[in-house]
Amino acid sequence: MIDIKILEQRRGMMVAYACKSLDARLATQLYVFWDEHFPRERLQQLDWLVIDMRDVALMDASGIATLVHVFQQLRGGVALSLLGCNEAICQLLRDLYLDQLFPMYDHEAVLPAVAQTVRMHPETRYQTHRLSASWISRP
Amino acid sequence: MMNWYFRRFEHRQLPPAQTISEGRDFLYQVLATASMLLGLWYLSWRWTASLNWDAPGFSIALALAETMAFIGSLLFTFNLWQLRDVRRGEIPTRLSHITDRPVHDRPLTVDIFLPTYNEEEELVRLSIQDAKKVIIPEGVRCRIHVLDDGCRERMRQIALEEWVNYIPRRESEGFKAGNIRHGMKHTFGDLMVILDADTRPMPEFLLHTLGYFRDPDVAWVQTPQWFFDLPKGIPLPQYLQKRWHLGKPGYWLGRGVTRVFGPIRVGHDLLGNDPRLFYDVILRRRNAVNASFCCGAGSIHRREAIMQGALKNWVRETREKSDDLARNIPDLHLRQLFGKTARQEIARRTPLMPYRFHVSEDIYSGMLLHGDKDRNWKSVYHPEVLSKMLSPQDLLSWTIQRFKYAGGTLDIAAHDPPWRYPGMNWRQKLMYAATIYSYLSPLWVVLFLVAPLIFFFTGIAPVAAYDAAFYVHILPFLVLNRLALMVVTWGVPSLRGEQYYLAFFWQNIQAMWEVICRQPIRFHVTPKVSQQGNFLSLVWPQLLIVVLSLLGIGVMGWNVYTGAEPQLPAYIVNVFWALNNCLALMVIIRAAFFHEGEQG
Repeated sequence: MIDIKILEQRRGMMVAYACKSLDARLATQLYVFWDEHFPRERLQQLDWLVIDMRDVALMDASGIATLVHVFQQLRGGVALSLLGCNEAICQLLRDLYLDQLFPMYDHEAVLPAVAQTVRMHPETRYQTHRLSASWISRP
Repeated sequence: MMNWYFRRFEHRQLPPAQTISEGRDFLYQVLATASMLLGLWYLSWRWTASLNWDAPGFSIALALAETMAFIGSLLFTFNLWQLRDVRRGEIPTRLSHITDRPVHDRPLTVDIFLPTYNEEEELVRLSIQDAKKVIIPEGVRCRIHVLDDGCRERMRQIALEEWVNYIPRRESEGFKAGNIRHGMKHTFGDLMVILDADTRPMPEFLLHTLGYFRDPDVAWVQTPQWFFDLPKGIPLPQYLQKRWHLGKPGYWLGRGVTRVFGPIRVGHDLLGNDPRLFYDVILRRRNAVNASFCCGAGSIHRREAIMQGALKNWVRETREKSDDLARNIPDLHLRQLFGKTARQEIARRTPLMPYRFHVSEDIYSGMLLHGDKDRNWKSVYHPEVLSKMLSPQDLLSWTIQRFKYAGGTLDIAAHDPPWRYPGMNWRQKLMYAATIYSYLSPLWVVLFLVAPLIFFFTGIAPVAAYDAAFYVHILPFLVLNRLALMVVTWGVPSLRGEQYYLAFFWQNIQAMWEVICRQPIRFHVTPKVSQQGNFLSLVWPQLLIVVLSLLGIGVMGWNVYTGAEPQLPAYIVNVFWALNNCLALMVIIRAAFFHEGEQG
């Protein structure tokens, strides 16, 4: 049983709702789910990806690894944000220093504003210049 | 073929673990302390009163080599200081029994991984069959997974026939570590047993290891590796009678020798594969400071620890790389902006590695967990043998394996040394340093091997005089050092380990050279079947030193006899020294010609 319930797309922003617990058991299914339903090509079209965590009560490191997996499928400059993480999950993410990589938002109301901000001020989007992108990728 | 191979060894009995004895530990501590103090006394005499100023370069170089070897002895003594096993709790059966975090409780699940690449399929079948015999505690769920990097149809069939899960992988990125990572993506066991293709677990494996995970901080439990096909060798009387064709006189000569020196088996563990010195003495004694390594096969891991470690290191690596890139930007705001952008990009391109893609992925991954300052993961070495496996049966396979160990460890030291990790306490750092330092031994071993040759062919001695003062300073140190080692390794064979400490110098130098030249340490799967032929090309430096030593003994002996060189005391010391070197080096030279027929 996949716990991601609904996926909706609005204004280039996709919101994925997750629920229950994101643990190792679910992680194996999530890898398959993401790869089947949202192959890299599709994720690459997104401008913004938000995962709604309000129903997620528990998450372990394997669950977080699935978020990393999704994040790595996204196009350069597109952020993966988490919405409504509970305190325990926030703490786990902070312990793993992942709060710096995945922006976290408390309320849904913030999201469109963030999206708007992104559109209104394109310079605040972290878009790597193609020259430095190739430089970074050099071994 | 494999069944035939194994049948010869199935009857072999497990070696017992060394018994715990507080008295022996105390005696060792006394002897080791005295030995180290005498060593310091000897070295201070070497540096202040014994240097040969007629040959300062040679003399100082040898004194330096002795000092470096002494530092190795200090680290070794620290490693062996005390034996303290870890207590285990009751066998956990539910997830909540092994963690202190809130979880949706359910039965504990265990995955048994059998990673394979190109090993003979029937060999893997034996491992699968033994894995199926592992007793699963009531309430625990267990699944066996064959992780096939070779993507072989025959392997798939065998997995189906044996009713175990088969997880193939088309690419072989990251080798064994990559294979296990791939396996982890398709499984969800709370604990993971890591085996090799030829590792055959015993039925008690889970019964005797799961209890340690009651402690929520235990990240992994390592069990000893037992090579159950070690060559037993041939008793000396039979060897002289049949191999040397000496007939009955040879037999009786052999009997006479064994009467005096005890049983001698020619060719016994010629390759020095018996790992008991490492596991039962070195690794086990690291339990006392929570620094026992992960050695791969025969270990059981907590998935949560492995994944947390992987995530933290992924973030750390990302941050370090982006900081490196941004370092030269003078403007603070721009630097921060660029750093943040670069971090996102680098994070996208840096793979998440539960097990490091490294030739020594096991020790590396363990080191990263020990180095986690927020979590302080614990490791456990369980002293009882719970699996058996095959040993390298020829010098080529053996060299590949040892080269991997040496190169991998030195590579870690060069690029991500353990002392960089704030999460490790100084004792843990010293333990890792002891391992790394032991692989630097060729730096001084070469001098120990060459010094007698320099004396024989030039007459130059590294010591000012081989007089009474020399013996007074060196003998007590050597005797006590030997006694301390004998006490601490009581019941565990250590001779081969000592011989290979000298004999392995050339392979160690090659590994060091590859690391210095920043060449990636090549990964070869250690062959599980014996390679054919002799491998003299692998040991030519050792052979050269033996030949030159014997030649030098003759040349200098003649000079001393004729009075051309009036250095009889120096000659005697160097003859003993050179013969000791030759005896150690002969082991690896003999191993170059070893073949399965000498199994005994």
